[in-house]
Amino acid sequence: MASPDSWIDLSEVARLVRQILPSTTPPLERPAPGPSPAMPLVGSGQQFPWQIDPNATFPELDDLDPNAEADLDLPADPDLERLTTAELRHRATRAMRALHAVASPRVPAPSPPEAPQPAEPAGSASGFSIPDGKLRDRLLAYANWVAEVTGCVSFRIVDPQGYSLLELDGDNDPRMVDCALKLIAALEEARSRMTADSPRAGLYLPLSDDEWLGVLECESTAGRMCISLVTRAPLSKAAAAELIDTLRRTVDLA
Amino acid sequence: MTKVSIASQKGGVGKTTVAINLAYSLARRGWNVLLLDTDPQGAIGLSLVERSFEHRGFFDALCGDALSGLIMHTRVPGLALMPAGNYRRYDQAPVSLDPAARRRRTGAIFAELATVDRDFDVVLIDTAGGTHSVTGDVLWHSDQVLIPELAEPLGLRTLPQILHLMADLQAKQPPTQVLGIVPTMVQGDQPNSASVVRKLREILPAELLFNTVVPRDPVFLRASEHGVPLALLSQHPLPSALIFDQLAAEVEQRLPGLAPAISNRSDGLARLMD
Repeated sequence: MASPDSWIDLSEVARLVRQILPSTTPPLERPAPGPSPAMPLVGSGQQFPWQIDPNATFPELDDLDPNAEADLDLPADPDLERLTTAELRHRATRAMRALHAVASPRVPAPSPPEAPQPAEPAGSASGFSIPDGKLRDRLLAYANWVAEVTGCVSFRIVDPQGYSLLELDGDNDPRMVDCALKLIAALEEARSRMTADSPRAGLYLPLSDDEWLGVLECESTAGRMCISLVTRAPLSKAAAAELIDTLRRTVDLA
Repeated sequence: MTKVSIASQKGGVGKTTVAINLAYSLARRGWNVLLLDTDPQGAIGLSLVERSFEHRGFFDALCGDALSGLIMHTRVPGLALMPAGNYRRYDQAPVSLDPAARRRRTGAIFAELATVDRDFDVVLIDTAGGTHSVTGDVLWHSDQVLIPELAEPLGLRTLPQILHLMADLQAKQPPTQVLGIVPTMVQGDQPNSASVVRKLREILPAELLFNTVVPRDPVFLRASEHGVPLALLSQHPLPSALIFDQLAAEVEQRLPGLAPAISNRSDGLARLMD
């Protein structure tokens, strides 16, 4: 979808604002604020630093205030284990830098959604070692690993009712993703019951030309859960099976 | 007396709605307000006055009528209005064929408004869409201009034209200052509309953009149907009516001479309870 301001000349707007209010600096010309732990994972179209300079440096975790998101810490809830952590965001930011670097406007548009190339994880399950400790820590490590190997821009683990156990949001409208997720999870459940023995790659819904919302179902001893993630192309069957198996082992510690 | 035009190069952006309801809110806040309709369509009169076509108004003044018989009092203390009047009469008068004479006559009308008995604090002027002809003259003689901006993609695309208009008005002598832009017909539940408001806040300084936004709300149609400002539509004012109270307070802050000072005395404030 075109940006709402893509039809107007922003430099002309800034010039006119300066003419009308000589003492005022238009917001567009004010220096960008410094990196903040609270910055969204994905900003609006013109805000990506990597679109301005693909070699731009990003804040590393160690450079940031570890207590900046203290207000977001929720009391431990063994049932839901909702996670929103600085580590998750920063790892995702690095993965998204790579994703958006290849998706910059200077690169030709990717193939149409009708013929997407299955995406393979860059790494393998052998690269992920399940940490000891609480389910919260294990799922966090798993999420970081998925973000690295798939380059996904949005990732969630939900229970069968659609409640999020862990989430990592990109710039997609959460309401739209939630609705699509519930619908696709229901379809995945129905499909998996009909083809219980076939290799599963999940179900995918195109969100745009280069974004696919996928849902993978996982049965664990703790119950059924779904992974939803937004990637540039549907995962291959092998990659999807790897993610599902790794999540099952992460939850079950098997 | 401050003359504030409500103008836009585009029609259908809510100029008349803003004019009527802002005038009402300013009057309720204690100012003497004249709501002046310079739109040949006569929307102010058509919105508020039954058989408005029988009343003389601004276009009759352009033809030379004295102002004393053209100002109508309302039931709201502090609020008076001058309807558009007989545009057909103006259209056939010599003044309509002489732009220079029309501009001079417009200036004379505005100067005469400062001498009438009511001692108006604010003259709020509703204009026709565009900046030509009579509207151009009204803008030329106004002290301030308030610009409703349609919160739709098309509205955003007209922003450079609006800024050009603002720059031109400020460049003339004496300048017509820019009171600000107010987003109108905002649909918060529509991503396209909400994104336009966000983008306006990104690219315009706060001095040019009001904090208040006017929503698109069916109650405006009901108010128009009944010929009342929104606040008079029900005994307890509707949420959309309160928006114009907020806009009025912002206008006060931006208009020289109207900004209420916050008292710094600790002994002179009327407390809620002793």
